[in-house]
Amino acid sequence: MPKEDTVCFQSSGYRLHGIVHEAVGTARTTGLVLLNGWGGYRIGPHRMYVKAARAFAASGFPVLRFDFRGTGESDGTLAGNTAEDVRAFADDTHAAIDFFRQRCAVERVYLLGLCTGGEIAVLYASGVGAVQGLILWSTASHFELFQAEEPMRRLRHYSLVYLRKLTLGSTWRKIIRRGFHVRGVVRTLFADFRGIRRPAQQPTESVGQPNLFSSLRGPVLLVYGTADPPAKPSYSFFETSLQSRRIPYNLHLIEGADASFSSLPFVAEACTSTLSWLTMQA
Amino acid sequence: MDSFQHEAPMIAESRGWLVVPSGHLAVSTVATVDFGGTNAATTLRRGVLMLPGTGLRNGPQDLFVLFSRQCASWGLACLRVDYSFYGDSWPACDQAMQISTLRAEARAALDTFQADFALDELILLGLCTGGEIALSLAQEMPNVVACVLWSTAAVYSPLTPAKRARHAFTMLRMYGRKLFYLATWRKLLRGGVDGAMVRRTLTKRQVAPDSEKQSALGISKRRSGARRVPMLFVYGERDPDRRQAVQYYRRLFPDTAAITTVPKADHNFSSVAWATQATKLTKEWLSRQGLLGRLQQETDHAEGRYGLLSK
Repeated sequence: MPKEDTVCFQSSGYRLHGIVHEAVGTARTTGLVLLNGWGGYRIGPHRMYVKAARAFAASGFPVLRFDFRGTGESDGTLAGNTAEDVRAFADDTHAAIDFFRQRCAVERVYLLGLCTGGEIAVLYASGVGAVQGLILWSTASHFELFQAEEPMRRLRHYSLVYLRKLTLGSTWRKIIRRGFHVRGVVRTLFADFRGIRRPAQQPTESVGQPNLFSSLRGPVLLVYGTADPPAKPSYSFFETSLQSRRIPYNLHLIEGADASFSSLPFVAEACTSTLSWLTMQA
Repeated sequence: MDSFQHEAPMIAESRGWLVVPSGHLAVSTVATVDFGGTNAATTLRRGVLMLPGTGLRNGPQDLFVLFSRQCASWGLACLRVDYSFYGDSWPACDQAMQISTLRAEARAALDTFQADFALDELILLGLCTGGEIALSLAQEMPNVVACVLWSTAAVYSPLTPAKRARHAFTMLRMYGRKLFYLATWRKLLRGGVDGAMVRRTLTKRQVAPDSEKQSALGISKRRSGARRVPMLFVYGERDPDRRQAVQYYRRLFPDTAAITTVPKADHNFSSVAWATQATKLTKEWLSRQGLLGRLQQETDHAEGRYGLLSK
């Protein structure tokens, strides 16, 4: 068994728990910190972070994955799905990086995040703290997402979602009990046509455009599944932002994959592409 | 690391690995340092082993994390386990769950837990499949003094026509939903749908007989009655297996089983109110059994998350 240690470190008075995967063989001076998304654990969806961390460690990259405050085994509570929580997660990320640098003698730290985890990574690299590079898996950009050129894509996607919901007994119970939030549905479907904005709860919305990637020292890897509806507008946005800041980046698309890469070949491809990119950078 | 550590102030928490033949289990322990306070010499040391179903050692919505911290504040040491193939445990490859493997791992964890903490008495708490494993272990461990079984289905549940019809209906609904996916239509047009598999799924012929599970767990009507451990069964009202399970366990343990229901709750007690109610019922029952030797002030640091500890 490669060496894995259960670890505990402090962030703003909270005890955060995680796992350090020590590198197998000659340890590199580059390491990864994995960030989970909303409601997630250090395990990742369908244990993806466990598998990825073990694969990276086997190739010589030490890894830390941990529970943010208020999630999993870590202390604290969540304020709710708000920018406040995301700011707190960014603080936790800072504490995690500090701890990881000392624990594994790592010089260069890359942040890897899936979905909201990626958004926290972007937030962190946008003025909160310095980081060598970012690996963004299925990370939506809520700056440009679903903007003018995308309303039809959004309408098609959410129409299908609601149609599927009509096959659920719970949906009909909700309709009969008048628990159905019609205005919410209309807002979801037609927000872009009517110029309605969704509630300002998205993490990266709190980052001003001028600060985006301001404390990033190195390159970015973007990995998306082609079956993930917001993928195209998201990576297009990041590509434009990175190009304008002259930050080197690579884009890898996984054919047929959804937002959480929920099949073994998708996970394998995400890990392999990330590993080969990391090896090139190191 | 062959075992796990336990040390630190007041409510001590630790994580570590437990080596078992099938791999390395990730474990988390929570305990008060002194168990019995000033009367430590005369107070029995009690521990709770929390067994998840087929999920993480956190339990659904971190229910096990929060409840174990609560138990620790009452003077009970707690151990939570990730079975191999789950959570942080090894091995990492994906394999079908074998209930006999889970049972063996739970037993290994229990033995180590008991030895490391010098426990006199054990309480087993299981959710779903974890409850079935707890029942099985309770039969052979003489110092198990209580079992708390959350949403535990009947281990022996014959495939009645009603159950078969319910299963077929659920599966039909699932297939109906799938018709809204473009991927399904692509598969249909390309002839990639396995008609025989769909038929088998609808008629439930592929399901392994429950007798296999019974045999793996060593539970039968005759043997389960052999040990009279007090048991608390807690079900969500909307758990589809509740009715059958309640009938089954009432018949199986007529003298020792207390059965209670959380109104409107689902299988995993997945709302703050339901989780709070399930833990409250459990606490009251443990207290009635005289197993909460020393109720401390509930000042757990986890207070507030979901409000569980403030009740």
